[in-house]
Order: sequence, then structure tokens, then C-alpha cells
Amino acid sequence: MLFVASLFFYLFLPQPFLGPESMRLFPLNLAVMLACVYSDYLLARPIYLYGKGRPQARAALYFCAAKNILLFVILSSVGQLGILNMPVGVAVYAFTSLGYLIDLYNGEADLVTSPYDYGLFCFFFGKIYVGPIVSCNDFVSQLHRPRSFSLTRMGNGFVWVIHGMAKKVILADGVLALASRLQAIDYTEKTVFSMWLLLVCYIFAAYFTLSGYSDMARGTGALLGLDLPENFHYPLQADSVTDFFSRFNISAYRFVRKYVYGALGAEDNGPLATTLNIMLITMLMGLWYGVSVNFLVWGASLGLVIVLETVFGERFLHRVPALFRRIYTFVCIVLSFVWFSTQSLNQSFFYLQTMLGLSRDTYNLAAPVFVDEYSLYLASSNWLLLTLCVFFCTGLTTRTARRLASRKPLLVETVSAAANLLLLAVVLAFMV
Amino acid sequence: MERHFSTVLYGLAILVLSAAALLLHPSSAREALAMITDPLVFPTVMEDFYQHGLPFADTLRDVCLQLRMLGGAEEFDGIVLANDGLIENFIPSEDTALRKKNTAAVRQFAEESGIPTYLMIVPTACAIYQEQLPANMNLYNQKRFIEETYRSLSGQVTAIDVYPTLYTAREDYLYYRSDSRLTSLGGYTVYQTLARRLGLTPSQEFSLDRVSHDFYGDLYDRWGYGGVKPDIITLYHNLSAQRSYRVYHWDRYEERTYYGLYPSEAAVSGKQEDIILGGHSPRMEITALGAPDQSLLVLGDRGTLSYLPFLASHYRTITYLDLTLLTQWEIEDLSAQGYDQVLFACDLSTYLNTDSFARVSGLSLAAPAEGDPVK
Repeated sequence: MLFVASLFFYLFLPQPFLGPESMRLFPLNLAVMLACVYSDYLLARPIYLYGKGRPQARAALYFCAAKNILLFVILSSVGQLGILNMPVGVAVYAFTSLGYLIDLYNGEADLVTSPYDYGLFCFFFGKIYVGPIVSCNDFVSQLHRPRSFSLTRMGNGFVWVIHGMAKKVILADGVLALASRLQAIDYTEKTVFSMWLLLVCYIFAAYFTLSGYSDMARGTGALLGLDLPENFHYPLQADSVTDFFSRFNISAYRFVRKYVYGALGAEDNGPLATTLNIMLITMLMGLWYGVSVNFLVWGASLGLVIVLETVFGERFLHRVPALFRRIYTFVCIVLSFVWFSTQSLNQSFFYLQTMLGLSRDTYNLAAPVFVDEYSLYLASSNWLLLTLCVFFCTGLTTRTARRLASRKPLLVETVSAAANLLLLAVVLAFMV
Repeated sequence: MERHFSTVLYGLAILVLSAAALLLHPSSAREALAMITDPLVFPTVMEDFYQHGLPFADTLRDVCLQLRMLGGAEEFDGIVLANDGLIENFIPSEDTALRKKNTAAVRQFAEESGIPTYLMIVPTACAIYQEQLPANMNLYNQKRFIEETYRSLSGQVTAIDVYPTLYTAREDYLYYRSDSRLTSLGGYTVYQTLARRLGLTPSQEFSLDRVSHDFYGDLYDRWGYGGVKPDIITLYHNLSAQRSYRVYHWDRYEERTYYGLYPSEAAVSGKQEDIILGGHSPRMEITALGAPDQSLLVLGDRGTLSYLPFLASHYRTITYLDLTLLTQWEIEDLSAQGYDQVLFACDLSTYLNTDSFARVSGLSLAAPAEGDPVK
């Protein structure tokens, strides 16, 4: 049933995002997905049978790796160039499948014999949109034991779904609308404040969209008796850029760390190799969001900061108060988003110049303007939204609820149920 | 934490909502489910069903509006809920070639036709009611653009600047609360200036007839929330120059004729606002028996209908063409020859965001063929 539902959702889910015209392509996208996943499924057997180190197994693994990576690169590039819309979930199913094959080759995973289980593991509809990327052992083992539909698990599922929808519909869509208005300000009229606000909006939009979808995936899984891992753990309250990476898209970061960083020797081959390895994994994390120079530079810029933190962290960073560490991290992330949120390097440099107050009018060389009335108007028109975004970036509510729940569980459950039902009503109000 | 009690609550809430949607709109649910085999239509139909079938949808929309306003928002999708109605912020197209093409076309028409040509650009509500808008809102300077355009055409085209007239009367009910067009009072205000510039003496004596108190226009549909009072449609009957009118509509596959400026039968079969001249068509001709033997060609847009009834008593024939709705070959079949005056009239959004007037170059300046439906 879940397998059929996943195919059904793959066919229907993308329409709201990509529009009805693109629906004509979906049978083709479905065929590409099935071909990709089931060719891996067929090649998994020789990898398993020949075992690690045997040329046949290695050849099959290399073939699958090349195929999946190429598929992602080609479809992502086609999407970036605007030739076709990028099919939904390519990164998720291609890398989920690839991770399994590597584990199988290394003897860390069992062979999945059922094509049904394998399909569900790769493209379960709950996680197809943005992940998380799950490990085969964790996911498939759940399919073989009796599904536990406990009320507690279902309750958690409902809450995750409601919270995910709230993050997407109220917060992410709200800040995206604000960002589009800030973006529409003429280049000659952009000020330091408007640019910082724009970049902060982009960060909030990216975080709440991705974590909202991940929460919904987790919630859907829980409602169907499946456990999916947490994919975002309050990355914007990280106290270093290294910490940020370990909290932002956790499953993708683990994937890259395990299969690339680990394979390259991690930190075992000296400082230079470690530096290069760090740069490589952060750049790959950038490419995760799309094959473009900007994403690559985004990853590289944060990689550079991580290298500096690794070298000087003990001496400087760990001695400053936590609040300053968080502010430093947030500023680094905001500045790095000039690469993440723009279409070209030229545009990124312009953003960076304006944010740092270094841009000059080409004609009259006027001094940079720090604040403009229109941006202030936009900020004041959205003060509650921005405050909520800042508040929900922190784990304050979760921590407080957890602390209170250990003392007064009934009170917390009652208040939380009422708050979540109210939140559901508000989400519906924003959707109708 | 054990979540038994709350899980039951969440489940119940979702069940009740789904059941209520199905029970309240069973036929819509059946129609939506019937589309399941069509992947191109099904998601849209289901989304529509839940949007309209959801219980308390209107209340939820109001809640959404109140929450957004509580959060400081004053503008929604470019629309502001001002004192007593909706005002759309006007954003000009980035394609500045459109306005240049329109201006050049008007100039060329005036030069080549030799017919007295007039241009009237009507500002949108956000310029006239700017005091009702939030401070620091990014407003386009409509007044400056209108003045610059008129200046660039001076000596070739007679400019009719209604901005000052409308701005002076800004406390009045000039624009609909739920629509971007002028009300009949707005039309009357424009007419006072327009008639003088056309060389006419504007009538002052009118009887007023309020025909609708619950009109909601297109802005309200886009707004999507509540909180807006319905509009009143008022008809102005000229008492000083009573005539018999014939209004002919040409709409490609349909031709209609009404005998009167305010045919109530048009409002019965169509929209409420269709009572004014029988609605909007790409091509219309108003004939007034007993009026001076003058003819006027109006090249306009939908907003023109608010002041056209006032001009009707001054001309034997008024021909109205909406160039954005006519195809190029339909325009080429028409002729401007034989008219005493030509009026280019539209609101600022049409002038800046479409190439409506640029298409006038297709209009023939030769004498019309025998049997032409317009002339």
C-alpha cells in the first residue's frame, strides 16, 4: 500500500510546485526514478555476492555511483538552466540508493531482496521531497517488524506534521513574500539595511522550508508507523560554523561525512589533507542544493571558516561567551548566503559590497545609504513574522516544554494539545 | 511523554474537518473524486474543493487577515485595506518601452490623421487616496509621469489632466471600495473636466438612481479576505439633455443592442456592473437621437465606461474601441476617418503596462468601406 502510495504521490505531489504544464513530464520522471532505483537494486546482488575488494563488485559499485551522480548533475543542471523543471527528489532517491550500495560493499548493510522494500526505502513519499536520507538498516528493518501504531507515536506524528506545515505556510512563505519585495527594490536604491534584511529573510525561508518539509516527512512516517531521523536541529542557534553544518540537513551532512570525508581518511593524513577534505565536503554540501558555481562558492566560503575554526577555535572561539559565538556564527551564515541566494557571482559581489557599505553609485560616487524608509516600512509591517522566525529558530519552546513535562506532564499535554489545535486552525487560515 | 489524549483530539479534529467538508459539499466532493483519473486536473480540483469546502473558510480567512494585521502587515499582495475599502498599489512595468511606444503611437496618430486628438490618463486610486495608505509605502509618482507625458505631446495632442480635479475631490467616493475602477461619481468628476477640454458644456443636472448596494468588484476577488463594505452602483440620468440612446456591442461571436444607457436586462443576465452601458465589449457604439451631429472615437479601456455615459448626450455617435481586446486584423478593418474628435483615454496602469495605444497604428485612416459596422 505504501509503495503504491509513493508512486501515486510521486506523480501528483509536484504539481503545486511546478504547475500543471510540467505534469506531462511526470511519467518520464517516474520512469527515470524507477530505472535509477531498480538498476541499483539489480546490481546490489553482484556487489553483495562478490564482496568487498573483488573487481566485479567494485566495477558494479563504480558504475552505480557514476550513474547516480551523473543523473543528479545532469538533471540539476537542466533545472538550473531552465530547460526543464528538475524532477522532484532526485538527490534523495539517487543518494539514498548509492549510500546503501556503498554500505553493502563495505559489509555494513544486508542485502534487500524484496523490490517492494527497496522501492519504499528509496522513494517513500513522506521523504521524497527533501529527505531525510535514511540508512537501509534503519529503514528496512522497520518494514519487517510489526508496525507499532502507538497513540504516542501517532500523536508525535500529528504534531510534527502541524509544526512542519506551520513552518512552511506561515513562516517560510511569509518571509519569502517579504524577500521578494526587498529583492524588487531597484539596485541603485538598495541600502545596507535592506540587503541585510533580504539575506536574513532568505536564510529564514531556506531553513523553515527545508525543516518544515522534513518535519512533515517525519510526521507522515510516524503516522504510518515508521521512524525517520531528525534532519534539522536548530542550526541557526549554532555556536560555530562547524556546529551549524552538523545541525543543518543532518542526514545529507552525515552522508557526505561518512562516504566522502571518511573515505578520504578524515583527519588522519595531516593538516593539509584535513583542510582539503573539509573544503571538499563543504563544497559537496553546497552542490547538494544544486549544481551551480554559487552553491559551490557557498560551500567553499563556509569550508574556509570551518578550517579557520579548526585551527584557531581552541585559542579564540571557545573562550568568548556563548552569545557572542552565536552572533559570530549567524553573521558568517548571513554573509555566506550572498552566494546561496543569488544567481551569479557578480550579483553576489554586489550584495556583499552593499551589505558591507562599500558600494558606490557609479555615476555620482555618493556615499552608501545605510537605511531607507521603504525597507523600514517593510520590516515594521512584518515585525511579528520576523520575531516569530527568530523565536522559532531557537529550541526555547521545545526545551521549556520538555523541562515542564517532566514535572507536570498532564498540564503540558493539555496545553500543548490546545496550542497545536490552535496552530492547525491558523495554518488552515493561511492556506484557504 | 505519553500523548494519548492529545492524539485522539488531533485525529478527531481532522476527521471532523474532512467529514464536514464532505457533508457540506457532497456534489463538489463527488466531482473532485471523479477527476482522480486525470493527473493534470485532479490536484487543482482537490485543492479547490478543500479551499471552498472547508467549514468556516470565511471565518478562517478573516482570522488570517486579523493575524497578519496584528503582525504589522498593511499590504497584501499589493492591496491595502484602507479606511473603508481596498486600494491597490500601482507598480509600473519594468518594460519602459511600452510607455514609449504608446506615446509615440498617439503622437503619430495625431500627426497623420489630422483629426483633433485628445489624451486623458486617469490616475489610479493609490495616487488619489495616497493619504489613506501607510506612511513610507513605495508609491509610484503618477502625477509626475502624467505631466511629463502631456508635456512631451504638447502642441500635437490636447492633454486632459484630471489628476488635480480628482485629487481635490479625494474625500469623495471616487473609486469603488472593491474594484480598481472609478465609481459613477468618479466618472462624473472626470466628465466635468473632460467635457470642457473637448469643447463641450458639461451638464450639471442629473437624477441619481442607486441600483445596487452589494456590488463586489475584481479587487475584492483578488483580496480574498473579508472586512470590506460592499459598493453601491449609482446611475446618473441627465435631466438637461434627455435623449433616446442605442448601445451596440460587438464581441466577436456575439452582437447585442440595448436601447438605453443603463439596460437592466444586461445586469440580470451578467454581472451587476453590466447595467452601465450593458457591460464592456471590445467594440461599442452609442447613438443618441437628438444629440448634436458630432462623432467621437474613444480608444480606451474598461475604466472608460465610468465616464462614457456622461458624454453620450453630447454626440450623435460615440464609438468605443478597446485595442487590447481587438486582434490586429480586427483593428485593421476599422477606420478613424469621419470622426470629429478622437479621445485616447485609459487609466495609468493600461498606459504603462500594456501596449494598448501602440496598436492604434493598425487603424485605417482611409474612408471606411460601405457597410462597415462601425462607421
